[in-house]
Amino acid sequence: MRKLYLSVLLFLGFLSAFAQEDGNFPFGTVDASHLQQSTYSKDSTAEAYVINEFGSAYISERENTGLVFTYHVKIKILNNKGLDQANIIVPIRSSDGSSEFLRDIQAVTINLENGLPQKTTLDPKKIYTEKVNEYYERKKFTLPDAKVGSIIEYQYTLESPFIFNFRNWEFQCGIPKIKSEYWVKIPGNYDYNIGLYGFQKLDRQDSELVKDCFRVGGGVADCSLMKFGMKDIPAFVEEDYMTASKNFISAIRFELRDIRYFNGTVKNFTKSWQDVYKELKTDVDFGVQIKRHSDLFKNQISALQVKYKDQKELAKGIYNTVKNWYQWDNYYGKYARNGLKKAYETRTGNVGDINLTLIGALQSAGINTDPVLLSTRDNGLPTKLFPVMSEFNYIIAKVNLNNESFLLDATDKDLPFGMLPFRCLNKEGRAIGKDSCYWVNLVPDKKYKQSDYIKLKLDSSGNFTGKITIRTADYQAYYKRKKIKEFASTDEYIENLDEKNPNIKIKNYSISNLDSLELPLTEEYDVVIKAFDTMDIGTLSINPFIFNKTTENPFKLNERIYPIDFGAQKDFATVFQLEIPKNYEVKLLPNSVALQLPENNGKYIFNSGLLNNNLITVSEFFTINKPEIPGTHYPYLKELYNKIVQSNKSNIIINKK
Amino acid sequence: MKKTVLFFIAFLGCTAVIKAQSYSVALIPQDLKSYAKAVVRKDERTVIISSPSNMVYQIKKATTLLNQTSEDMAKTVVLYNKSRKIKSLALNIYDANGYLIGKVKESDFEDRNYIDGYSLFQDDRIKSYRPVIRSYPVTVEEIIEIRYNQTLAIPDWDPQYHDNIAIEKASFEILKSPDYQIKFKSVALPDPEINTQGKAESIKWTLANVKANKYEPYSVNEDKRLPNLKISPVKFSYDGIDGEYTDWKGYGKWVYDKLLTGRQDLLPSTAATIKDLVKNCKNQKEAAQLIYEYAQKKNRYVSVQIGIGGFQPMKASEVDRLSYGDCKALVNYTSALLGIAGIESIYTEVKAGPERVNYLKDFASISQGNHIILCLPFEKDSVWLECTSKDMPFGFLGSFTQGRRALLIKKDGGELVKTPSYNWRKNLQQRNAQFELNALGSLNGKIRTLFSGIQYENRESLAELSPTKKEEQIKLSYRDIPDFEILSYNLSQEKLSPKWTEDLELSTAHFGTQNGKYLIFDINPVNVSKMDLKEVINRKNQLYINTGYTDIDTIKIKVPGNYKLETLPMCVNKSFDFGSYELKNTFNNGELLTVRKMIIKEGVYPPEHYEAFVNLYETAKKFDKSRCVLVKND
Repeated sequence: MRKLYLSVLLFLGFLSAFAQEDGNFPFGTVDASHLQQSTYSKDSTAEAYVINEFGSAYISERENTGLVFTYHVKIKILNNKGLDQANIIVPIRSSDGSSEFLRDIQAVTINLENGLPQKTTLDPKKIYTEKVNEYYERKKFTLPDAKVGSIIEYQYTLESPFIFNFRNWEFQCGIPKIKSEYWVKIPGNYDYNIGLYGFQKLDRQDSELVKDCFRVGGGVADCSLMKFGMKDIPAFVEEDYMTASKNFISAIRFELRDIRYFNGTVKNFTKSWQDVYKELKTDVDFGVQIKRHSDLFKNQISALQVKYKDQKELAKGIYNTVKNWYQWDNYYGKYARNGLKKAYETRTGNVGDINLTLIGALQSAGINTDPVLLSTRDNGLPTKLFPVMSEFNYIIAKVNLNNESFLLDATDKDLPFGMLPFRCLNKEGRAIGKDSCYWVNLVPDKKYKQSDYIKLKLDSSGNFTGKITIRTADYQAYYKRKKIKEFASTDEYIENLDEKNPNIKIKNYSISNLDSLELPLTEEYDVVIKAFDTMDIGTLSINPFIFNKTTENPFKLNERIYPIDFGAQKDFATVFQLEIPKNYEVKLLPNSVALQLPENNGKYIFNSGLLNNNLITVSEFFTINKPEIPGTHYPYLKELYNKIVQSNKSNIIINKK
Repeated sequence: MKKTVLFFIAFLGCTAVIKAQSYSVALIPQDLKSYAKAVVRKDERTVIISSPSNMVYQIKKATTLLNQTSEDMAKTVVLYNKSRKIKSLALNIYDANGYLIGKVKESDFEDRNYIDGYSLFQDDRIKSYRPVIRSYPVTVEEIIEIRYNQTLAIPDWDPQYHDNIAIEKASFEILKSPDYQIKFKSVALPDPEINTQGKAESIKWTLANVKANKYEPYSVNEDKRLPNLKISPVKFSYDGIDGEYTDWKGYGKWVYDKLLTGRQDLLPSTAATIKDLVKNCKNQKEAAQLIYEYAQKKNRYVSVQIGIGGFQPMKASEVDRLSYGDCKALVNYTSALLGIAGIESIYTEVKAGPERVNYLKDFASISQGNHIILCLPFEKDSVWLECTSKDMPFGFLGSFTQGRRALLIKKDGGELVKTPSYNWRKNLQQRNAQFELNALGSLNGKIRTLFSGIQYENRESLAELSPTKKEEQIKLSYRDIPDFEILSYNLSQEKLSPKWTEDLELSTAHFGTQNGKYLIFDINPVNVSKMDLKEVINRKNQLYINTGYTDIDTIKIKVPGNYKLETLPMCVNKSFDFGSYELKNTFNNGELLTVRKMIIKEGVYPPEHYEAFVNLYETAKKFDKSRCVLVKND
């Protein structure tokens, strides 16, 4: 009895310790100085700012409660846009029958009316529950009487059975924060990997031991109370051509390593890559699926083995067979969702279903294939130091042949052998090999590649007649093929192209290799372009960029912090040839340009010339040699694009002799 | 009543004994496939009205999706709430040969809240399902039955809801007692067949072999061209509230009496605040402006649609407390405030959106509007207010609700009225730019632009942006001036017209190109037409221009002293009934003066004029890029 009493005291003591210490702040106090503010001194562009933010999380002793997270924030609204902060959404997750539970929501708005502070409290009946899908609900409410100048404040407690990722905490968000603190109390028998992400440094990182703080089923454990804090946090602003903001936002993330139960058993979650490796091999939704269902395409593979003796050709054959069998259901995943057998029968599945089947099929044909886990671009980069399995949301196959390897994804029918979809281009993936696992480079050597060859002749009626040849390869071809397939037939695609340019008439077109995905796609047209209404004027001005003209620089701002990520390299070439009538001479050709990015990360070359006095040639070559350009090179990249825009405006001037 | 219901069920039972139809794609007439993304094989709808509070809607619709381009159509979404419940829901999926390859039950459907994307919450729910299509063509058959406990909103019929859909067979039938009256309005539909047999009356519209249309840009709204049917009750019931109307007057009276009356109560302190606010005003308009701006500052737009709240505004006292509401609530609130100052205002229903859609002159029904605005009927010139915006100028409606027939909800009933329209003369963007070009190709100068009428909206969102986003937007607005530095920027608002005056001072090193002894530059860096109009051969639809405008740009570029003009860019002047484009260039005293004038006039024009319309935009696109060539003085 006595012992219990003491433990209750300790427990309560701990609670009040939480409340009274500098961490959490009292709810609903009037902050006169902030009420009167009309801007935020550290960031004059802010539409609102966080005055104070406090979160705490601990694992509950109460049975079936899991993790208890409390959140409390106080925000000052500075302008109309800042009012968006008054619309609160709290996501509630459910999975496999368990669900999170939100309680004790309190919200208040404080306004200055006639010099006096006025409080308006949220009516609990105005908290709505919106069901989004079977895994996910949203609790929504809006602060009453919120205006420009208001201080809004709210807090809530969330109970969650999902303790694997504990509760991550983002220090940064779209508005600046004066102070943000997060306290976590983790019992000693729960071992978490904890990592700080982003560029900001912690202003506070304390850790203390709380003895006998966790009692469950007769056992007692000490807890580790950790306090993390940051001050004067700048707002996080997204830029164009950037990968997931998750990669850059300052945050703390957790992953459970193991739990030591009081009865002595230990449940391991993730210790090292070795353990992940062993686990995946024996996981019912992963390794076992591959082994058990590697015979799904047995018949088709037998036929292919007769046809192809070369390993690479065999691998291609299997890849194409599997790829064309399924219709992807648009769900990501590293595990099979429907199960490979069901997926095969219904011919549909998630990424796990389709690609695990592919891996099994390739392995059964004797082709050395490793599964590769990856995190898609919008999901952020995976942690490398230790495995955080929940960060991987996708799986692909890596085929290892003699001295080359190929990365395969069978979810997209337009992908050629060895090319990954854009969503997978996220630096590195983790291969689960036969004997060990290793990092795999996902940066493609396939590019956005296009070359345009335009050969025209100016006739006496003011028309350009001639031929256009457009050749696209790799990613450029992939997107082009998708575009053409948006139309019911290539005829309709050309019809649309013709109609979009009323001054250009297209005849005799041919599109080669539309379905030969590994080969470059070639489009050829004969064209008649109405260039001049009349040839009576003595001087004619011609701009060679009739097609695919770059008219503006996509980079407008003067400064940039984050790297520019295009996903893949660029390789564009345009060659323009124009034959002018014999009674004309060239008066002016465009200036030449040659510009290179630092570290040879890119190049732009623009040239023009004249042959035989009546054949004008203009050529342009533009390459970006690395998919990602560092933020410090931004001014050079911007200037390169400036030069492209300027060159694309150039004029060739010809005169009647 | 019961007897009648039984009869209807029996009636239906007979029609259910049909031979299993074949949905084989080979059976589709060839001409129905041209320009079609999908072909409706069979669309049978039946509305059974047994009483003003009891209505059943049955749909049996089979659509063949011809190819991958119709992928987005393969989704079935059915809305339900307290007044409409789903009685049965199923899908059958057939392959190209008409063989059944999939069956979807109601329990397979995803069930969740309807999220319209802008409301905080609404109590509508949906059941949705998207089958995974492995190969095309495929036929999806939907069998749905919905039971309503209201008849205020009777289902409309849009058998061909897009140009690219063809119809093999479609029908819409209403079954009711002959004494129960309804009204209807149809577009592009043959007259219905009416059959009365004792206690049952059937009104049935039938369509067959309707071809798909090729998409033609700048056509009148599909609602006006493609077959559709609107139905309204005479006597109805909704959420326990009864009503009756045969015209707009009657409908408006019901709305006024049942939905609006008694909801303009305010907190006592508010009445005092308003009286104090307007005590020194010289006239009603002045007082109205102060009140409107007070409400704008105090409230924000939050949409919560629950039950009758979907039709009835929140009480004014609630808005007073919460400082938020949707369009109905904010209009009602502002109206209440105006009432305190003795200013009359009228709650007005309208169909809002960029396209000007009118309330039908000769047909009253509830489904024609989607927004509420406020009309202040002053003796000379009514003032119209948009109450959901925090920064809209007093009296300005904008492109969202201008120039269309709307419905005033007055005490004695509904009355149609036209909201103020902004024509091509009023929608003016007038610009004066003064630049100086130097021998290295650098340009610096000032641009002053006035935005009025609908063109006021060109800078509306810019005003509220953060400095970084603002810089980006300014550079985007002047995207044809390469990489310029903003030396100063000012945007001032004149609330009354309303009008923006923008002053931009800039400099850029990348404007002119030096090439040997030549210096070449763009003559019009401020207003370059980028419009890409598709040409349409043998156009069928009239040319419909929704909003007109006038752009006048006067650009002066002073060239370096040691250069002289080599070629003066060409002048051009093209004029038609629907608009004109004029570019005039002169060179005097070392300065190039370019005056660009483009006018597009709203209206409806014969289909043959479309070709010239395309030509006008092509001309603008071409000449806007004109360049001037200077040569160095020897």
